[in-house]
Amino acid sequence: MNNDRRKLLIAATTLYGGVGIASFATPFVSSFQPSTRALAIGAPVEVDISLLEPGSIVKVEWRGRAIMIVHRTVEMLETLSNVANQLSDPESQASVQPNYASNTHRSLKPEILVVEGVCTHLGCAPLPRFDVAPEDLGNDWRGGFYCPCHGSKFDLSGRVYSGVPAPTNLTVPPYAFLDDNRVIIGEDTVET
Amino acid sequence: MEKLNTWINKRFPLAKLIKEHATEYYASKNFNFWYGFGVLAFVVLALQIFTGIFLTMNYKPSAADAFASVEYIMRDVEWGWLMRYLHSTGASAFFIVIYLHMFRALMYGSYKKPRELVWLIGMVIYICLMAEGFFGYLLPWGNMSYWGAQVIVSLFGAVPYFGEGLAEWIRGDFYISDVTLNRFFAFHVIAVPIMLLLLVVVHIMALHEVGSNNPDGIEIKELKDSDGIPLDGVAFHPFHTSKDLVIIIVFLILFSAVVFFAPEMGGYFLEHANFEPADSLQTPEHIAPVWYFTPFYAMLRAVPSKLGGVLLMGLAILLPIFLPWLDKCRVKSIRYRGVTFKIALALFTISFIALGYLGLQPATGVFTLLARGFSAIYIAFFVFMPFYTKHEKTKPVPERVT
Amino acid sequence: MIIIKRFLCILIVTMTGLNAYAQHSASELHIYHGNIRDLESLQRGASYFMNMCAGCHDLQYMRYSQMADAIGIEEYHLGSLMPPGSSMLNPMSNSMEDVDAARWFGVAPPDLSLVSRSLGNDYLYSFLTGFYADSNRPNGANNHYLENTSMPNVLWQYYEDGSEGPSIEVVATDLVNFLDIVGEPIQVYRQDLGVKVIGFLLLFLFIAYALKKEIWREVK
Repeated sequence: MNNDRRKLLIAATTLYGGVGIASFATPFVSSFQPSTRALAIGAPVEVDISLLEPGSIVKVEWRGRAIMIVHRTVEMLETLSNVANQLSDPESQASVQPNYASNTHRSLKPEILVVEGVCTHLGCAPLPRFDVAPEDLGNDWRGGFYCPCHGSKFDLSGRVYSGVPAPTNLTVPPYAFLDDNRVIIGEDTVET
Repeated sequence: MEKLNTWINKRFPLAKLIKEHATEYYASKNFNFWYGFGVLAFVVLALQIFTGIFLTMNYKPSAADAFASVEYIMRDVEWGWLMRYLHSTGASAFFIVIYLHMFRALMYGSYKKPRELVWLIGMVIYICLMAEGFFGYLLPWGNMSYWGAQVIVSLFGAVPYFGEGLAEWIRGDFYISDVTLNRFFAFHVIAVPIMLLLLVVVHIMALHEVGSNNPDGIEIKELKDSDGIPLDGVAFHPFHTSKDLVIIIVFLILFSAVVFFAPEMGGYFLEHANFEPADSLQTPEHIAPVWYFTPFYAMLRAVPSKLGGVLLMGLAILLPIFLPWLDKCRVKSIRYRGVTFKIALALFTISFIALGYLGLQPATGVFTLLARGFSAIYIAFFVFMPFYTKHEKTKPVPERVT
Repeated sequence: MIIIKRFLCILIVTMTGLNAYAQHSASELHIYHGNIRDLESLQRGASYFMNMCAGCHDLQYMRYSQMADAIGIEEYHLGSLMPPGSSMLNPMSNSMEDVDAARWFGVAPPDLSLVSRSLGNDYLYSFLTGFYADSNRPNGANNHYLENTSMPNVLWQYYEDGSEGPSIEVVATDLVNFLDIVGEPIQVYRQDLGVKVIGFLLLFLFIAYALKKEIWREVK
């Protein structure tokens, strides 16, 4: 009996069979990826914001999430620098946003904010609360987003306050302006 | 590792199971390729369950969505086409493998004492498999699926007095509808597969209790060496496992050739009419079941009476169950059996294949006559078996396997 | 294999008439000679389809992006093959409403996503080349393979001898080729993968057989 030859053959068969099984498993694993239909349904969404007045908000759905588009007034923009010392990530260094939105106003155009309405704590939907110093949120409230589930607070750029459960700022999705009045959400490499 | 083994074996007979069913399960060393179809059936079963699970994740069992969801799998789901073709080709492969597995049993007398129960359980598995194939065939909701189910369910209407009520009860509606599809789906993906798995375990346990037959039809357990190991036996592992691996790879090559180059198999594995959605108002001009049911379908049509046809078909499916008691010859293997049995088996095989062909053809004139003739041979093979096997002139059986 | 497959297709189509929406005559089918790997033919076929067929017939299970893949063009070149304002990921179903169609033609033009698989390429080719003038029909044309079809002869210009442009045989071949790939967009990929899989298994067979030989060496 040639033991070395046998060991070699057993090793070769095992290895080759292992590669075979792995290759067979790959298609099944990747079938869990979003299908072409899911991609079609999750395709970028175009929004007309010509009627969005300063100080108001519109919500659109993209990939099953609410996307909030806020037309901020000059006063609202001014609050951004005033609240900076109360925020946990004012420079958005630990948060998710495209490069063009990692500034104080977290947006392409300062007055137009586009953020996902998904709390970074446990995925609840934060409420837009643009009223200043309301009873329930206290005198320091300068307007922003308030998550009713666990009380997380965000400023008017979606930046999270310190001392609340949410760890990071609201996520900014990829988006671009097709022209002055039309925003496309979900895609930022469009030719305009 | 040693410690873990001891820990497990004190609580679960793992080592014992491995010994009994692999390293110390002795099977004859002279198995030919006919003995590979058992393991192949096991491989196909595993493949069907595996691919079936993934298809279920994307398929919608409703009359409104079923057809489109199959095309969704074929086009939109990543690798969905591969899963679907593996499953549809696997269905046909299952029957090819099982028919050859059963033919092997006929040739080498594997149904005879002491393996009667192995055969009986095997027959129940076969009937379950037919049910599984039938339920599964409705799911793509193509026009052939629809009308195939319509025809088969209508068979139950042949039962006197409460036949129509029975057919309605099976459908859950007055025609094959969303309700029917939904319940067939439940049978196809849950009820029948559980039965099949259970029966396969029982089949293998019964087999390992009595030991495998061999092409010589000799009981290898009767001649053992001083250690109690059958002289003509070799351990299942590593001997038969290494051999089975070769057989499995050969099978996979042939199987892949169909999956990748001819998944429709010229309309036999995936029928052309099934690429049109089910239409309850428009029958395909020519209805034929999938090829694996056609021998029985031909017999059904051969009788010019609805009830008679159903009875003949039922008889044809049930008769093989009684083989262990119909065959009076004490010699197992065809190698040493008399010329009468060889002729009978040849005629039976030809009839079965011919009926399979006839089931695909329109039931007209000469085709019907042929179907009647071959049905008669099929039935006669079983009914007259006690007589033509009783005084069979057999050859002497050797003591050791050749 | 292809010959057998073709033969069976003809056999089945001629003998059993799988055409669900109308009867076709028993005229012998022309054998279609197309090649799903001929990308130029597929692209011409796509263009003919979008110009002459897509007004009435949907390809509801096909998406524009999948068509681009199947006929070998870049998605951003879809341009003329896609109605303006449509998304690449949309299904190719922009034809008229079924109700309107039924009013204009008597029957709704069928969806053609799977027509190549249900009726067979030979039938499609024969049908497309099988029109003839018939003044008894409302639209002036009839078909050898689908008697009294409600489909007008949209390819009439290619039937005329001596006219500019390709012959009807070439146009029909390109169209059927396109419908073939639409019926199963991954078929070229499937075949190419099959060669690799079988090659892999053949080598595995070689190794496993050597192992089996080695293990059985001790069995006398």
